[in-house]
Amino acid sequence: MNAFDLLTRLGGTLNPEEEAQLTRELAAAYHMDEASATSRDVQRIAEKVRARLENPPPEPPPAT
Amino acid sequence: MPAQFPQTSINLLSKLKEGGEEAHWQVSWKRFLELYHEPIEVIARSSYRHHTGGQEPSSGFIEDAVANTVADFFARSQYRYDKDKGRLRSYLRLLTNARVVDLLRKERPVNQRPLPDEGTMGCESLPEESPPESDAFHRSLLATLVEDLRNRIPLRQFEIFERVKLKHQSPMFVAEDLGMTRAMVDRNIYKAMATLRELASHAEYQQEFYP
Repeated sequence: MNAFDLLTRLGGTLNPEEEAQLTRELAAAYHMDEASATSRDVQRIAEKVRARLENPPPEPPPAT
Repeated sequence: MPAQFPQTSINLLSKLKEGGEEAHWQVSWKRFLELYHEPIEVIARSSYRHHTGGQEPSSGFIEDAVANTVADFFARSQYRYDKDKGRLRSYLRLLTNARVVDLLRKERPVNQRPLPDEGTMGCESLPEESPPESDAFHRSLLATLVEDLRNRIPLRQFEIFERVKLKHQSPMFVAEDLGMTRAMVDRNIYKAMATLRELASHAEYQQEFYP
């Protein structure tokens, strides 16, 4: 059972073990997102994305 | 001039899947990068190993592959996502693999690497989805779901949910800190969980979750 199975289970009743697993997976996703917002690695990639969006390479000519 | 704006989607995942001009203004590429860099990175590593007979990419190579994938996803180009092209999950795999192949072509002479034909983004050149990739994508989807929840429920209700369920503070501590009863904390968490279940049952999430 994974988080989405647990979240969408009909009736929504979970045993304590399943409840703990769901909480654990939600918290892991939340902390991944929190860490991304301040990660230097992500910031470095963001600079590269910004540069590519501001100076996109020329698109190849359409096939004839 | 709000009347000229496209219709806003119910949730973040819908906005991303709308693609085109709508995605460009509804979801920033920076937010998309924060939420989805992890699965894109795992796909890029797996793709690199697949095309180089098991070699490990440098961190610079992976950064470039992730940056190119995100830029293409949001650029006004032939690679921009269109939900008619299929699931977001599958499209990200194809796009990331194509960008890895592009970078490999620049990095090494073609005759040294068994790469797919120019412009090929077909599934035949993709490695199978690995458990780490599946886990990373699930985490990104769950983080998207939590963001949707934040935008859907009252601020105070989300704060209680966040502190108890995501930051593991004790319900009693949160109740005392916020000057409410323990029963009110429990009731707020119950309501937040009900909304989370409702959001997770939407077709956008159901389509993306299963490999």
